[in-house]
Amino acid sequence: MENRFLNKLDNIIVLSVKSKNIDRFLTNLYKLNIDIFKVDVLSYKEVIVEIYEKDYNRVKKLSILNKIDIIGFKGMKKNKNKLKYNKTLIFSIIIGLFVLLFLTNIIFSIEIKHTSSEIREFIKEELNKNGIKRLQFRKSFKELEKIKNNILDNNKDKLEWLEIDRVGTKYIIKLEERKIKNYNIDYKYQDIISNYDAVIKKIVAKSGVKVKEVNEYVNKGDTIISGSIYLNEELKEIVKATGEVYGEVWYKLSVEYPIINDFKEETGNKKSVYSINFFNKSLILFNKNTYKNSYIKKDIILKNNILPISLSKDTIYEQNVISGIYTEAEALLNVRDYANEKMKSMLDDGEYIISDKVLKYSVNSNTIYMDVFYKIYRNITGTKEINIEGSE
Amino acid sequence: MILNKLRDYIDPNDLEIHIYKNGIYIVNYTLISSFDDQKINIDASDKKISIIGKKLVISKLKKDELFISGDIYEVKL
Repeated sequence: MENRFLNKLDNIIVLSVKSKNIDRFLTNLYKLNIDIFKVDVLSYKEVIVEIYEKDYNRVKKLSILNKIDIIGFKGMKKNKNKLKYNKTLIFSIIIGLFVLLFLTNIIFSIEIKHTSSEIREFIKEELNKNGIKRLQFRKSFKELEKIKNNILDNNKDKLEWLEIDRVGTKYIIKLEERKIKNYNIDYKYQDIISNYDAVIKKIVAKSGVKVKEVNEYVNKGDTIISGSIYLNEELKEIVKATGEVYGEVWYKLSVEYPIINDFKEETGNKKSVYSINFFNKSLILFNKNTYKNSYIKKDIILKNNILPISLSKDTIYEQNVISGIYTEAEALLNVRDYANEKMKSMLDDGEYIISDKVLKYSVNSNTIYMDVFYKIYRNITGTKEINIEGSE
Repeated sequence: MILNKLRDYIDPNDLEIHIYKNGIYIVNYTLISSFDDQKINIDASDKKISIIGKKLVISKLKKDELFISGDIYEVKL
């Protein structure tokens, strides 16, 4: 049986033999029982012979009367020689790949997206504590999630929301600061002020004097219920003003939301089959039941170096395709719901959305960016201490 | 019995002679008893084969197989 493909694994040398009597040389060669792969008779004095490298010493003994030169290599020996000849190049490529792999796994910069330098410094320290620093190996998604949750748990009073994204060799930290409302702070003598720029919708004054009316516009910090009681422009008494003020507040919320056509999830069913592959075509052998949706992981068992044909063991994983958002209109509805949910999550009891309006939206790289304007019925109550010495 | 059949299928012992355009391929020969560029005599287990022609060359030689190229006129069994 001819082992054409197995010959590729052998060390074969190509010899040029010059002899006065080629026939005698060949007879000797045949008598020595040396395996010959090919004989090319160039002339009656010269012949090219292909033999195993291991037989070379035996053939060399015949070289007393003949001139034998190695003129080439075949099979594994040829590949070995190619490797030897190109070792510097191959070594450089491998080192280059390792360096590339190494560098792409290093984080070179950390960008914290927030306007306050204090917050940026604070987050930087928190990240340092959790092992996120410059010039360190990047962390896995799970590790980042763990760190994110850890920072959020430890700083519930300061942080509302935190996201750590890795873009190439850079971490981008997005966060939202938690703003604690200060209307709970009680002073001995105080005014009730507005915490927002708003139109007053409801005033519940328990003590003090109302200085603003419903439907009046107030800026942030304006006094609404005063603790200083005047009579005929003369300060009669200073009290602790208490009460609650609700107003119409305006917000602009920017959201981004992905447009996804299909969600694919594995059902957990899988099976192994064998297939013959030719170029990018595959013929699956003995496959009776096919999955409607699936993906295939190929494990090549046999491969031909010359022909683009191979035998592989395939694992077929069944998938469920869940249709997601298809049209822009559907996507817009989803974004709006998402924006509303986000806004509602920022509201307390008794607060609600009066109306919303989409200001603008754009679609880019499978993501919708939308700006929504909100009118919110919100508790705008704030307190300001009255400085008695100043008043007197 | 089955094992023998299987062995014969994988590694047959019977003499095989394949005649191609550019030469003769012989499998499972025993010995090259004599040869020159006009005649090559080969022994198999129970047969003697003579190949007659011009410019005959044993261009491939292995333990069980050989390939003879050249101008082949006659194959005697």
